[in-house]
Amino acid sequence: MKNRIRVLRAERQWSQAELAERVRVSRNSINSVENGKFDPSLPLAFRIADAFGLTIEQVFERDE
Amino acid sequence: MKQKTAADTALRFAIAALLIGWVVSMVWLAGQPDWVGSAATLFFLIAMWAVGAIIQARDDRRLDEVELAAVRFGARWGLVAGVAFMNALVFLPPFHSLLTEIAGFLDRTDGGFPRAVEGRMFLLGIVSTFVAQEACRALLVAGWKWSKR
Repeated sequence: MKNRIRVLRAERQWSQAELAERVRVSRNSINSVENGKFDPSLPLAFRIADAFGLTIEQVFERDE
Repeated sequence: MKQKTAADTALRFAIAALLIGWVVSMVWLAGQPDWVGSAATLFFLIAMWAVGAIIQARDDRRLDEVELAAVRFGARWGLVAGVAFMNALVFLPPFHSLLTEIAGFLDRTDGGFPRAVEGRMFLLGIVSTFVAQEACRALLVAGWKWSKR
């Protein structure tokens, strides 16, 4: 699943660690999700989207 | 993983303290009947197991879903990899010699609990299997996390 986490972080000047703290996961976990190596669960996806103040669809994209 | 608290640190110190306590008790009870030493060892073993279980439960509660996925992967495949590794070792003569030497070194016939070398080799084999499984599990967890970077 693709996502725009890196872009959204850069817009807000957040580090992975900062986003991890907001979402209550480890920095490594944010890194895995951001790089598309791990698909987050729905609750985690919602928390990430909420952290950016966006909807899930605005953060994550389905693989075609 | 969420941050450890002072309680987590204290529990880890407790494990070390129990280990030191066991060693001290063995020295202190050296002149006592064998059952006293066995009872003390059993007490410390149960205490360390209990504290270890509490530490593990507290650590598990702090894992996020990515870390949990890594632990699940390691638990599932660590057993398979560990058993395969031990089966491979079984066919290596140097490993047999090592177990035999360790079993012979532990042979105590002047006091203690005398056991046949074969019995100790069997026990050492079981312990080696456990160690191999744990090592494989840890390696697999680390490998899974590295692959998700």
